[in-house]
Amino acid sequence: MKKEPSAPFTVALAGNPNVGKSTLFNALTGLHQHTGNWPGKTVACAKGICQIGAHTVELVDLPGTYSLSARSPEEEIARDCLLFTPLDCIVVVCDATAIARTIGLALQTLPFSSRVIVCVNCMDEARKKGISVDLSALSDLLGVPVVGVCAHKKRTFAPLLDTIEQMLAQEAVPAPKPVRLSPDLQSAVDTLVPYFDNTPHPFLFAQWALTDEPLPAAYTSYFTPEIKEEALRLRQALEKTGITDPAQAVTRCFVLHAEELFLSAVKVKAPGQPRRDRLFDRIFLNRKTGVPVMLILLGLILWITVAGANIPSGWLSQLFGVLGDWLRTLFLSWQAPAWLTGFLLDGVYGTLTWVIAVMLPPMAIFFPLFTLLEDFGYLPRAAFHLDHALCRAGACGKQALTMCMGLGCNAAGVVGCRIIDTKRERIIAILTNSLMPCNGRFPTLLTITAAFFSPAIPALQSAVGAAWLVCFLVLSVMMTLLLSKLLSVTLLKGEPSSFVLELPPYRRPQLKKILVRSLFDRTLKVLWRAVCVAAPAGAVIFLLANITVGEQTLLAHMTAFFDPIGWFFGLDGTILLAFLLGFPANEIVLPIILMGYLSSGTLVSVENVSALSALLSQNGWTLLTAMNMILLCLFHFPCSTTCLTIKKETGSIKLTLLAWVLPTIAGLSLCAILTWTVRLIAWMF
Amino acid sequence: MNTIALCDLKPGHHGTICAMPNGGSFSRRLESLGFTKGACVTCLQTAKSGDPSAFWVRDTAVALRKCDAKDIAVSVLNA
Repeated sequence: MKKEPSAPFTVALAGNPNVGKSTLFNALTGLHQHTGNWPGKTVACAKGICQIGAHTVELVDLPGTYSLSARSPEEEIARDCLLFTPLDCIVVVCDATAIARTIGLALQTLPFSSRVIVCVNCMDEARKKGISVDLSALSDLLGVPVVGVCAHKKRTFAPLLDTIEQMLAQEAVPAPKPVRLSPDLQSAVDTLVPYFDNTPHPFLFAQWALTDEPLPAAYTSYFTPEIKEEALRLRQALEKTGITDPAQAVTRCFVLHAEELFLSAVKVKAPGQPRRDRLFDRIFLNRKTGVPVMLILLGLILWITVAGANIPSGWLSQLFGVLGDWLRTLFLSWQAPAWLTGFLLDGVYGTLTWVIAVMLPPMAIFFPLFTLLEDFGYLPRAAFHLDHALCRAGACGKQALTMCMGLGCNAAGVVGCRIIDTKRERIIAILTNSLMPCNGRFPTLLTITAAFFSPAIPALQSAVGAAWLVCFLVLSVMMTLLLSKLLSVTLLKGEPSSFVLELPPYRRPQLKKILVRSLFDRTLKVLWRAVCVAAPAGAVIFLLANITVGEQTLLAHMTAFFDPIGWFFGLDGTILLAFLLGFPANEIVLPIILMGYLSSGTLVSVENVSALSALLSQNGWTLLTAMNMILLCLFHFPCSTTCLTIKKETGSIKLTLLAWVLPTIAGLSLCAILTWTVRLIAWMF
Repeated sequence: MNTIALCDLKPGHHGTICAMPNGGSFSRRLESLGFTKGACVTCLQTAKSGDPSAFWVRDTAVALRKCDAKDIAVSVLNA
């Protein structure tokens, strides 16, 4: 089938989860798919264009799948792409340190496609662990080209690119040697093949019909009762020959073949878990040290974030202060009307620069650190420790991973819930994801803690701030478990599903690449959000604070309306209003509160913590108010982006509303309980 | 030759799988990860209360819950 010269070729990257498909994809296309050392990050197909030799190639990054009998939505996506979209070449990526396990998918693609290239990744790691892979022997045994790469090093790509080019130019058509099933199984499958002759993959469908696996949605109509009866009859016949479970028998054929390949082509110096990984796991996975180490790691990351953010914050505040003064003099020299100066400088500029100076540094620092931990391979170990609690709460152990993603961004956490197989548990994970404070809420939590719960000694401030954050995160996890349990026994009843979690080998994170890429990425993203959300918000607040209706400004009217409700929860009208107005982005809640209190002043006057604390105290804030603010900040409705994502992922407006209401009720209830307990105690004494 | 459930394998101990649970896509997932009859398994660590446990099988570390591991029978290689 010759392609027109202008139309791009389509090449798919397939393979087990966490073998390096996305890393390879990013390197070839220059795009930035999310990568990290735990299985399940790619949950949708990503497409990118790259040049391979003389050909323009559309590269498709598929979600990882263990086998073509898909168990979860993202595996279905991978399977459907491999089976039903016209592909010019399939590159199956394997892990050199785990050939026996990862070659399975390659074996499964051989029966229906001859245009397969097996790409063995992590060759450098394998060498370090004393594992040597004989690529040409593998190629002989499989009947398709086999190349080796290190996805992190572009200079190793030459053999892969050459082989792809040769395949696209159809210079050499491989003769794959598919797995031979045992004779009984093979004849049973052959009997069913004629029924599926007008489907794209008769052999595969016949095999699935025999093993009673669900066919892809578009083809279930092919599975007529006649075929079902025939399949049943064949299965009963197989039982007489001793094959009680055809599906298991088929899998075993593939597994044994993979093992044969492994024994023929791979030499391992020291079998068993590599020493370095064993030592790490002794610390991270241990029942005694595992959880304390988790808290310490978290505390360390947060401490670096807090301490590191102070310096750039200071610089940026100073810079914007000077710039602001200069602009003010400029406006003055133009004899600009006071309302315009106020609107542009106090409203728009003030809020925008406050957000950039105070909110940006912690966010820009946390993300790269978190990515380092991700790449290292620690996250599945954290999930290991949280699994028991999650199981008791009726949730899936993988929810620990989506909760970790929610720490970066709740919208990303919601999308990540696709790795959870069962619908019930996926919905629980989606609904509770925003209970984990995202990146955008850290600065608010940090600032309030610094203003009210900070020690006098400056040297300890960062450490104490980090310690507080760790406590808040523990509280978030407990609340997630509580609400998950509540959902499991009421709206989303059901049993916890079976759970298997792969613990990937530890990998050295690509320090420079991550620090630069992540820092840059994050900074740009936050800056963009600041411009799109914070600046207009500042404009709106300024208008509300300066347009008078009757005796009071609009802002005063609105806060007066919310004041009684606020008082009930130990807050005030300004705070409630700020949370509502902060729906588009969490980082503008605090600036809105401050501007509300200042009404006509500028935010520049609250550029340091003591000024901020003074302002808040002047407006009636007590320690109780600060605590309630923190509780509400942790547990309130998700931001607009997250809500849109939830609607997209679940397809249900009801669930999106529930996702909005649930955390809000949780937060307000906690505030009410705390407030009235404290007031009761105060009243009694 | 004593046979125990996989969940009872102690950390540091090795065993060979003698029987896998029948049926279900879950056991097939386990098999594709390496838990097949005759495969050698080592218990790496167990979490508090033994649930879940981490096992080294073939060339991967995999964590399994107690309720899922109890259906897999292993014969212990060293006491």
